[in-house]
Amino acid sequence: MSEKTDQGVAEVQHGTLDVAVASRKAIVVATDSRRSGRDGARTDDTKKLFLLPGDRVVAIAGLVDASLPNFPEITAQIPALLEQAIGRCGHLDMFFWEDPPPPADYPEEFHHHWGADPYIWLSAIVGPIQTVFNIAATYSTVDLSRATMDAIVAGYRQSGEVKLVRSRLQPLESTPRGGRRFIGVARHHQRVAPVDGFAATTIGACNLANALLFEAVPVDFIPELSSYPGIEAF
Amino acid sequence: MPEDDLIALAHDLIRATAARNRGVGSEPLQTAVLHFGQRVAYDQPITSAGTIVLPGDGTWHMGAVFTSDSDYPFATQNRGAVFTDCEVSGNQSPIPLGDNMFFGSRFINAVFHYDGGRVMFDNNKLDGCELRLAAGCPIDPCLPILNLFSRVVQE
Repeated sequence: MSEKTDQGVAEVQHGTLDVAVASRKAIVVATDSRRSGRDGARTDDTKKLFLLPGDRVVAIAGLVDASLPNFPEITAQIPALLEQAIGRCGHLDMFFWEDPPPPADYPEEFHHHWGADPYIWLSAIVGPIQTVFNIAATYSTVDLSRATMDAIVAGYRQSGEVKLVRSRLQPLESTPRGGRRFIGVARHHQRVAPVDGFAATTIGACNLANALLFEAVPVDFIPELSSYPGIEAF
Repeated sequence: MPEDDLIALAHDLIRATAARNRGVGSEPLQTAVLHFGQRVAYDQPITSAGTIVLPGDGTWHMGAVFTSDSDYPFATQNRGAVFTDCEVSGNQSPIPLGDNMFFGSRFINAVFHYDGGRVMFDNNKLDGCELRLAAGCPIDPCLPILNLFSRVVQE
């Protein structure tokens, strides 16, 4: 251990397609349970859909587990961390869930920060993720191309309005300062706007789903269409 | 769209994708149905979210610099702290080596103390550092890194 050893890049496991569709009558959020490792191993045992206070839910896709193979103590199990964080602070974003306007004396130049990063329960899992990636970076270059975690937050505002939000945790390597490498985790949130009373969003392996929801039925999918009556009816 | 149609659409989109993409599973599906003013109808076949190894409320020292002036009380902090890309110099409070984690950090004239526990210490640079070993404590976990220290003192 005294010499610089190659642990390899942090083991990163991911997968999934999450779909949220909403009409004026209901919101449906569904996800698969698959976890795929870099080694090709696949299991269908991963919790990706969680209840949030306020009769809301969050579904996740992408990064579900980052760990160092030789140090089993050092791992970021996203589902477990998220469940713990929701239990501790899942209610703390309820104020901003209602999209309140900034106070009258809130400086105009800071309005874009108001409620811009409201999900404290999501921010709470950044520490373990960031730590695992930075430890991995002390061994070798970390491939961050498949390290993004996406989420869909769904629920109703008190007015009854459907609210769907896409969120993203994205590990990014910063510009070195003073010779220190640093991998931070950026957070983005994007509201999904309903059109004619219908709203839909997807995360994960969503190319086909997006084509079917927002474009046209792909030609090579037409022969299979009758096998999927839910899609055919839509 | 009626609720049943929304459910069928969401499930079929996942199953159709699963038929083409092995990164997506066709079963089991996890589903939530939300209605305004009602409890969520939550169909969750996966009962466990897994285990937590590094808790979200743990101690993460990332790129932190501890100088002799800071007098940080390393010795009295909870174990399980992670030091990544940190720098420690001339600390007065010995750093517990056991059951803390040290990666890619630099230690200058720093003092460590080992009184048991797992040693997770890798890719660090040490200059003029001292390791104090508690009396009667097995030092086997420290052996791979003893040569990094300028002084090893048996208490």
